[in-house]
Amino acid sequence: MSSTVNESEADLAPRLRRPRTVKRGGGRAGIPRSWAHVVGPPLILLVVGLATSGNEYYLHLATAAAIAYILTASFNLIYGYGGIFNLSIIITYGLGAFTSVWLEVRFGMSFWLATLVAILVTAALSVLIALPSSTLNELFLAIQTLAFALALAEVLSQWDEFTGGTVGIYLIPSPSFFGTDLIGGLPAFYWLTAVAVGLVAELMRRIHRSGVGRRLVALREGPRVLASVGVSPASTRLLAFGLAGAMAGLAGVLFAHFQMVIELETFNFNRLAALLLATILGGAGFLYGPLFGVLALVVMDELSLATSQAQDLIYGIGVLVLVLATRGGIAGAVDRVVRRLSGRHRGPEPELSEGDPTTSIEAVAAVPTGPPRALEVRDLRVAFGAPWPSTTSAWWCGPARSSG
Amino acid sequence: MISLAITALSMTAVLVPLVISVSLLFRVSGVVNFGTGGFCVFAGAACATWGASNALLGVVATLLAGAVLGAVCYLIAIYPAQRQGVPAIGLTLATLGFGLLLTFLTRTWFGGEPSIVQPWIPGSVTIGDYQTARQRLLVIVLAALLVGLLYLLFDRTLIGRALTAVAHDPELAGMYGIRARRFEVLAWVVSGVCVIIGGMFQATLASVSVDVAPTLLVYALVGAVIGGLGSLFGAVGGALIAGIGMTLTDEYLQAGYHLTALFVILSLVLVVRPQGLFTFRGTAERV
Repeated sequence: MSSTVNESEADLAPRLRRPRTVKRGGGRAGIPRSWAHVVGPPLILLVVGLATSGNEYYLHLATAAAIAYILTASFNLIYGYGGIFNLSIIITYGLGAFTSVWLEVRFGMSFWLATLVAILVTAALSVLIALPSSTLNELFLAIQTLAFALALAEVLSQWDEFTGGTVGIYLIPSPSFFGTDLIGGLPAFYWLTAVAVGLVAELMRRIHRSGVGRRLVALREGPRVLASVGVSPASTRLLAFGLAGAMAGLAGVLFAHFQMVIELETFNFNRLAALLLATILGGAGFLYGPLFGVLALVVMDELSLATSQAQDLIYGIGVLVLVLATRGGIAGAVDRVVRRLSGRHRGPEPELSEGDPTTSIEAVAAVPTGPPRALEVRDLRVAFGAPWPSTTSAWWCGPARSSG
Repeated sequence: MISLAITALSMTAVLVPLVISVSLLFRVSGVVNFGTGGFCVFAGAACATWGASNALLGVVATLLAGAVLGAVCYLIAIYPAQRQGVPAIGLTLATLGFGLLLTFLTRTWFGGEPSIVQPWIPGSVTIGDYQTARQRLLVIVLAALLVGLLYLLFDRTLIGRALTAVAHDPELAGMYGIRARRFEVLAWVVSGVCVIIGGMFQATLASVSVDVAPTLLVYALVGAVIGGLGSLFGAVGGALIAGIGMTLTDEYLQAGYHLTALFVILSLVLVVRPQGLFTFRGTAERV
């Protein structure tokens, strides 16, 4: 009896092991993957551009979606990675649009210079917002940044020359590139947007892979960890604000020149709700989250156009459903499927180099779902700031008790 | 001077119910209700439509709708999310979603145009050499009554005590035989009624349209934060500071900068006294 059990165990064991050893075989699987990340976005942009260049409406959609990607990536950077619920990003976006147009119309700057200045302005503004709010928790930060966004919109709406008051700004000059006018809505402008999106996607990929991305995630999960390894949480936070502000500004500049007509009303609460929806539905904190989010949003907008005027309804239901049903959004779901197919159950971000001291923290932190994990610490007491073993205390934290 | 005082007080009277609602929910459910603006706009439009022939009927119907909406918001947006362990920011998003749904309802049922509720007491009175609408004074009195009523409810009845207990520690309260879930629903109902009252006040004094929902939301949130999210006293104080701040800005600095004034006050408070101006050891313990 016992011998048969042993035999069957001996039979099973290699079968259980074999797939793992095969799948893990060397770093070969890793190289094409990372190449795919580099080549993927430009390829997608190229295909989309070629596919839509014949149809004006699709081209319009593609350009709008590309701009929305930049904005969503910006919010994904600050909220998804950094965990900073910065609602003022919407007015940063608007400010980028108005600043570039104002510089061109008032001072006759070229598009390229105006874009650069607008990006610097929005980055600086974003950092300014970050300074007084450094000690707030996320709810208070949300309130303060929302108040800031509405207050700045109020101030700007009184500055007629800058925003055109309630009427808006018309006749926005088109950028020119070596004599070619890049007119919003035509293929040439799509390619300009595509280049910007490609750059942003590459920047996001690099941030995702690099220490900066890990620092941002650590900022989200526990700023004290950062401080304890000698990285300043405050400057990481400022970096997140600055980068996100710059990207939102870029999106704003492109949006203004794409629409050629802008008014403050465009950058309102509903646009903010759409942005939140795109970021979180797509998957906050995932590299490809904004891509999925923008696609989902385009689908939802088309739906609301088809069902006429029910944007509030569709966004409202979308938000409720995504809060309830999704953890990690679409990108999270795709990630889970991919990992299940490839037999990997550990390590949410395969790009991380092994042996990196932050890997384990990241691995636990970056996946909100997956198999339940628990961390149990026993026999620990804190003396002079350092942990020492003792017999008096025990902690336990796991999914059942963590309240987020 | 008296005109300033009455303007500030009537602004406060509109804010008080909104702020109380926000801080009550924060206290009991740990949620900041980002749907507040949607509730207000719904209230204004509903009261204007339903009360077109009979004002009292409209008010009562709108109040009932507010109670139902508060409970519905809890049951479809918050309760399922809480059971799944969604963090506070997710719950906040859920309330935002509910607010969008309410905006949609307002648009489809009542149309999107600005709605004005006819004053409940028409006419005007003259105090000294300042003439003001009776409605304005009525709103101030009603707001004061509401605060008194809520004080009695929260502080002088067993219901209020139980609510405080649930806000502190639902599990422990449960051990003492309090059905925490029911009291949480009660808090949402009271909060829904409060928001609706604020929305109706606003609609009788000025007008309410879908576009002002974010503005009303920020009024409520900022009022709640500057007063301190812990107590009824803090909520009233926060609303008063916000009302006075906005009135003074209108009068002495520049008209039309309400949100900017509020943002400045909010930033100062968050730097100097992040727990809120009116949070003291004695008051912080109450709902």
